[in-house]
Amino acid sequence: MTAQQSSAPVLHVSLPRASTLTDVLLSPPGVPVDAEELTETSEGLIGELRRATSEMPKGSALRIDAYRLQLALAGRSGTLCPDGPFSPSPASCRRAIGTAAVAQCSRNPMSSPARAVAGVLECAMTPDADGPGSSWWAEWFRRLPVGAKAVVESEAVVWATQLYGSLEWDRIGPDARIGCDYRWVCPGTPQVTLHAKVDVQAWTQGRPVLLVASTGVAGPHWAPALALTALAAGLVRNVQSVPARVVGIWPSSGQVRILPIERGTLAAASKNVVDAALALARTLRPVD
Amino acid sequence: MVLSPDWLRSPDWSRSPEASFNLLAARSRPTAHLIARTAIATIATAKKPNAKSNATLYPPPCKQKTWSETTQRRSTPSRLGQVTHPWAMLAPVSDATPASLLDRLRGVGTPRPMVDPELAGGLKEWLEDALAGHVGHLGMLSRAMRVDNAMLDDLSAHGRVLRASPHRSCALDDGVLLVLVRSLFRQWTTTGRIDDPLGDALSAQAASGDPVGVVDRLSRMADGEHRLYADALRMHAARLSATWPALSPAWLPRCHERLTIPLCGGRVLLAGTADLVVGSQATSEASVCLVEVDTERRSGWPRTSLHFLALLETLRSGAAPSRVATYYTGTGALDAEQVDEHLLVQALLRVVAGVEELCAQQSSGNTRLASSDRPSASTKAVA
Repeated sequence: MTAQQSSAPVLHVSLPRASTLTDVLLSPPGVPVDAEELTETSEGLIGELRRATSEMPKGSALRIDAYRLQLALAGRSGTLCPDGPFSPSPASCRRAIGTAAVAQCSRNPMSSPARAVAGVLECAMTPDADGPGSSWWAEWFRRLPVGAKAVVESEAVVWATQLYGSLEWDRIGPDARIGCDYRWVCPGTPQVTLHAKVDVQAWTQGRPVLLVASTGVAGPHWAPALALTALAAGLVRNVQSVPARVVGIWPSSGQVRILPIERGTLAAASKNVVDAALALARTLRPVD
Repeated sequence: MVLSPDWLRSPDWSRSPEASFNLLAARSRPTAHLIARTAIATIATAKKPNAKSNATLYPPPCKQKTWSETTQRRSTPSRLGQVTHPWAMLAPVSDATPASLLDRLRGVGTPRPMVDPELAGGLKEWLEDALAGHVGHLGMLSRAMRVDNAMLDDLSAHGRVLRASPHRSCALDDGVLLVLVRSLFRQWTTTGRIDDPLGDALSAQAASGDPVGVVDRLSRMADGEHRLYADALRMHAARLSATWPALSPAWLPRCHERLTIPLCGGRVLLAGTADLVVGSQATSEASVCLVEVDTERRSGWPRTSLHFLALLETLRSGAAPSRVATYYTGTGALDAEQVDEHLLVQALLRVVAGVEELCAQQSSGNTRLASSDRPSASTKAVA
């Protein structure tokens, strides 16, 4: 019996952990957020962000993601390095490669993360990989020497194995989306962008549930970071896209955190975003 | 155990799902929980007063089953036979073969331990209890204390931390060689291909941002010294390609996997990196094997780093690994051992002693604390 079929989810606190985590992810949703709350939150957020960033230098941009949000809420936004030109690295592209591999594995249970990653990288090596829809890291990857390519593959295999091993995919269903991120550009203040990453989007009783995998350990501000994902989903799409819950996993530490999205969650997330924007905007101002 | 939707929405669950898990488990399985806690308490009582003695109080657990043969049947054809590079001929004669190493890695004929689901929780509670007082005396720290195996080695050898651990290995030439050899091992295990051993290893280090300064150091070396490293690496690569078995992708082999365990509310971070992890999540049997790579077998060298990693893996996944092994690229030999409570308790006691020492140094101002309380780096790095 799956969680969707049961009125009360049955959680067996036993190994493997993937079973328990899948139970939690797919357990019946609570009361949904209503459209009015999302509208109020959205309007309030747009106004507050405009005020918070009014003194930002012209031409500067403010990107708020989970990492920056947590740093800002911890009072450590000053430790952020100024945004320079982005250059790919094994660490920065492991998720992109890994999610492509996990998507393959979820469609083909006979595959394995290592095989799937090798397949993704092989496709990136083909000459026509520069066409429309090609991966942003493919050209960079093709130019790497053999040793560096191995590091990229190894990092992606670890990432894909951890994500693939965290869930029971036969229960997640074929309509799950792997690696769908939300990017919201603030209307009226286009230099402010919210970016929330989603590693798995599944469905329970017609409502989306999200899973986010991160490295390291869960920091003290894990809840605002997960709430940012729910807020971004609602802002980018509509109230039907607001998830019933966001589950965070930290595979290197084995930690799991669950954030139910209920009435008031989005408003709290919006307030945290504004606080973070104020702190981050301060770091962009020229020193007197 | 039945968990109602109310539990999922409860403040307890949101604040600390793991604690809720434990609480629910305790409620649903009071007898098993109590037995496990009692057993752990017994171990703690027996061990704590005389932590450094070689205790034999914990015989290996009962052995029920052997490794399943099903995974071997799914193995893909080995790519080892495809080596055509001239340096591959440098491999000295050895009785180590991929097949024999694979047998030792899998522990063929050795009973495979059953998972004790209460063990990980007991070990974590023991660590928390043992460290809470020492860490609490430090007052509110702005940064977490990051403890890795190199730091514990330094403490046990000298009684104090000599250098920041990430750069420690580069002080010695064999440390540089080990870093390069581990890069080659990672490459070989992941891709089954090595072109130019030194060039490949250096490009791997460079791609990782040269974390221990090996690329920088070699770039400043004279040609003769550079050639020594190139020759040595060719030898190690030859032995590696001749002896290390190709692992089936179905075994989920992954190289350079990081493990980080927060303790005392995140004020202590136990951190380590496994050269190779094999095996899926444990169910009823232990299923994970951890492999460490070294250049040569060192006499009297306690394999404390492996045991430390075994402890981290137990705390992370909730199940002890089945086996730990050290692979020596200089000889192609493999030392493997089964993981039991005794091994894990020894590793735990070493951690407790090390953190106690670090806290004492911190209190006296002689400290080496690493900055490590940043939030997840992946969110920063993702484009």
